[in-house]
Amino acid sequence: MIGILLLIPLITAVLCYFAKSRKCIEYINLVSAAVLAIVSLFPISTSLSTPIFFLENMLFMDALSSYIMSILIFVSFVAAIYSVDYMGHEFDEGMINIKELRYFYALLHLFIFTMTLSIASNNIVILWMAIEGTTVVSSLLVGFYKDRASVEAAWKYIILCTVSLIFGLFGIFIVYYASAAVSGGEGTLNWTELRDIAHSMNPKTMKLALIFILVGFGAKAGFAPIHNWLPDAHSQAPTPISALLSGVLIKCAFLGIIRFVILGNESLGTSYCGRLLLIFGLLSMGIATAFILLQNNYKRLLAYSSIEHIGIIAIGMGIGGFWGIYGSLLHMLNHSIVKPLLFFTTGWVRLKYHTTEIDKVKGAITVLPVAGTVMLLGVFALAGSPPFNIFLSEYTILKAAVDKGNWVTFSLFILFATITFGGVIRHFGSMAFGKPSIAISLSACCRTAQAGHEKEKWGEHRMSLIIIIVMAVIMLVLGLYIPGFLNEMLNNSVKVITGD
Amino acid sequence: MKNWFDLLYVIDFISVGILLTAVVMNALKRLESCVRAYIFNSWFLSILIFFVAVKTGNPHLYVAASLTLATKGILMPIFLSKMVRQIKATHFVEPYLSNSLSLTIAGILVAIVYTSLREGILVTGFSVHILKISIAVILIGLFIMITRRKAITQVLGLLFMENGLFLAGFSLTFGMPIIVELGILFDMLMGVIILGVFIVQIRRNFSSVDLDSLTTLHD
Amino acid sequence: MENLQFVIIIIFSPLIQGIIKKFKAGLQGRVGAGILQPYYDIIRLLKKEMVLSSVTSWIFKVTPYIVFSSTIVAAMMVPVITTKSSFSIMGDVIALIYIFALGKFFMALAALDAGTAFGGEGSSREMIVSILVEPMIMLCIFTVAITAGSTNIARIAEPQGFIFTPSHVLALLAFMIAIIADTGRVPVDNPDTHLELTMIHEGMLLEYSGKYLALMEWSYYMKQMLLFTLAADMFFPAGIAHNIETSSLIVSSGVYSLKILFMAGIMAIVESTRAKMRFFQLPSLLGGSFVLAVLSLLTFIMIGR
Repeated sequence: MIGILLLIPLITAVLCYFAKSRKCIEYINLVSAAVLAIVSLFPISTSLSTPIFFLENMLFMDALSSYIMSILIFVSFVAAIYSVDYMGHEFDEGMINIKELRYFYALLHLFIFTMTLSIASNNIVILWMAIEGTTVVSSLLVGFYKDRASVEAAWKYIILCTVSLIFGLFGIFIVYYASAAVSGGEGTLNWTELRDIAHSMNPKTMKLALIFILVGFGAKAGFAPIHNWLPDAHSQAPTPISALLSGVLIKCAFLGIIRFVILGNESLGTSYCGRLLLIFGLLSMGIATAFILLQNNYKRLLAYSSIEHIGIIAIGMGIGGFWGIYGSLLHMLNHSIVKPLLFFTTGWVRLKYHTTEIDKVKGAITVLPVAGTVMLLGVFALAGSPPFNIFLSEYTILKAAVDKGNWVTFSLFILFATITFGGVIRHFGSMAFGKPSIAISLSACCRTAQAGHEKEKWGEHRMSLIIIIVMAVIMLVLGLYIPGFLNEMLNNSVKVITGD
Repeated sequence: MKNWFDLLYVIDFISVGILLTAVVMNALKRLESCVRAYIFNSWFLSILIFFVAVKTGNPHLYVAASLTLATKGILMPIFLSKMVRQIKATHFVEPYLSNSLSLTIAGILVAIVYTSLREGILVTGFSVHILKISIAVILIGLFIMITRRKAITQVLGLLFMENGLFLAGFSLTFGMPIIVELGILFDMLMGVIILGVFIVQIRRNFSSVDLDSLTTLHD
Repeated sequence: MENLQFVIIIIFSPLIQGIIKKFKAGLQGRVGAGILQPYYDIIRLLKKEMVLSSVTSWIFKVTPYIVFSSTIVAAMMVPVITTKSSFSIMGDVIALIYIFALGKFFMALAALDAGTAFGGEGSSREMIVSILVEPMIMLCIFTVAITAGSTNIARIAEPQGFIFTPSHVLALLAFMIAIIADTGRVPVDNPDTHLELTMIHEGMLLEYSGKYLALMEWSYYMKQMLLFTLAADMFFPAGIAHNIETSSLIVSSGVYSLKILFMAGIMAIVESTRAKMRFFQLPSLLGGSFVLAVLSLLTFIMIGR
């Protein structure tokens, strides 16, 4: 079952690369996304209770990976649908040609393949290889537009992430060495086996290994101070890819960190890793808050917000205990709903206004009624206001902090979250309200002159608008109540992490 | 045969050779010489794995040695030379620090690695030396990456780091499953090819490969 | 008898210089002067009248004697063909370096004393080169001394055979560069000319004439041969005698001449294949070989051999 899950995006990538017409590529893309979503239900539901293995134990899925996998499948599904409209629009306007379109879709599915591989891997080196693979493939996507800014962003991304991952691999080697020292001969590279012997692995060696792994995988996840590539890469990539990068990739890297933290907790006790994660989390939140206030580019703002939220996730994991981990995992899901939603809506803003500067965008609600409103709702959700989902997970994490008596974390968290709230709402509010900027109202004028054309245009982009509305509804629902199956997934995942 | 090895400390010599090529890289002024230093480093690495294979009699180390030679010793240099020719670079490395200063700092880095790893990792046998050398090579590679201005020399620094990492993995694990080594090599190969693609694009967009010109994105 | 082994250095050093020059000439396609030419030069200089500058002080007159005698003392300390001479007790390598430094110090002072621009230039350049070279030599010596367990040259030279370990090879490379710098050969300085560009060693000798010049030149030849001997003792001491039996002494002399000829050959080849470096590039070369020496010491500490 895992094999099919991996094969689908791979085959799609190949097919998309060789397809001939635009319609053909888009159909392949949509069909594959749907098939992937349906097929993935089987392994996800089975592995909730018992782990499933594949390929000589090199790949496996347990409750934790099935949870992250479902996040991946959901975001790639909506991103695939959205790209049809978005890239189609760019294709129609002549900004990209058919060869680039083919290239985009092939790389998109290849990217999904590498992320799936990283979630489903048991062998820690295959995990590393998959994450390095995501770096390589997504850097091509970041540099997709081939202009100055994109090329610079892609270069920074690939260099910083590859260098950090080299340190991460060194940490992996140390873990392997520790496992070999336990058995006195051959060590093991499979995570399940490592977890079984983790309590007898040498603590000093594990400490050293964990530092390297946290730095290495942490750079990929977006921890400050090694986050420099993230604003550039996430803002220069095409919009559906930004959604995937912010929504899934940093969570995949964080999954890698969680796996090793589980090993570390067995060997060292929970305080060491917890403290490190808290430090990184608070640092990320702080730095992101500072930069959010100074932003003038809304895509970069969203990227910094991703850094902040991965900081929150790290804080949740660092606080530990049932509710801390539960809140952190829930936050992963919530962020993966809100952030792609925001990227999608601001993607429309970009297509209409042809700029990414906050100053130049005004009156988004009047120009884009549906997308603009959803954008505003999404921004409130992102900033953490009730009744949306992010508020719920942040509240859970804060409650866990109070329960553990972690007052410093609690106060810093509230401080940063408040400042960010103000900053984000101010920036996006100025974009949403006000008179539409002159250039746009002119083109809006021209479009109303061809009223029929307008309606047709709304009809064309119907699919992505539906997606946006659906995501907004989910966002609201999850803020009010957590459905049973989600609760069960979360409980099982927490059990995996705390090792019951 | 084995006595001859031990008498002439062949493995020690080769590992010192690996370190030396990394340190010497700091002192080189021309791009072609830097690429040549990398070639020597990779060949030394493959020969080292080969000799350890002979000494321990482990058959899949032979495969590992030939794989390393094929990717790092042959394919990568071909790609690098092609890239150097393609971007028609001015042939001088432009470092931020003078050559003697960076050479000195490289020496200091080696000293730091040696002294700080006296206890710590509890590796036994002769692989302790190789581990220390590999960490030194990783640090020197990182140092080269930070202090050079041209994009190609950053790639070279990355390649040195990767060589050091490979050596470190080898000394810590003595041969992981072959598929793993294959995968790592493949990944890095892909990474470097992509980097090459981007260097060409940097050149096209900025009409120079000087990384100081990459300042469009900032806050 | 064995106490007189330093006489070998005194007598044969001009011959070695002549051989190097002849070899260089052959490599460069010339016939060149004969190998006994330095002897004729020394004899000729001894017979000539001396011309001294009027502004010089006693330092100028005393220096040639100091340099000559210090070099002879150094020659007494180094085991040439046997390690068992009565002077071997005082053969400490660090003391040897300081004796060389004494000679260099006085040469530099004397050149300044003459009050000419060339003298000052030679002195300052020589001092800069020394600053860079002496630590390098020290480090090479430390590496070798740690292996042998003592800084006494005789004891360092005791093990038979090659000491072919990575740290020693690196130290040997650094030491060869140090010899090139100390004897003022290409690429550090050109010993054949008296041009302004190439006057590190020659600049300091410029004001000397007659007997003084003969002594200074002879000291230079002796120092060169001594450095070769030192390298041979520290890095490939095979074949040196450890007792005073005649048979082993004869074998040792034969091996010794081979080693010295080999090193002379290497010098000639290096000189003929390299161009002289500009002075301000010298710190990079010497700095690089200093790092080499540091690496050799670190390698020894790390690997243990």
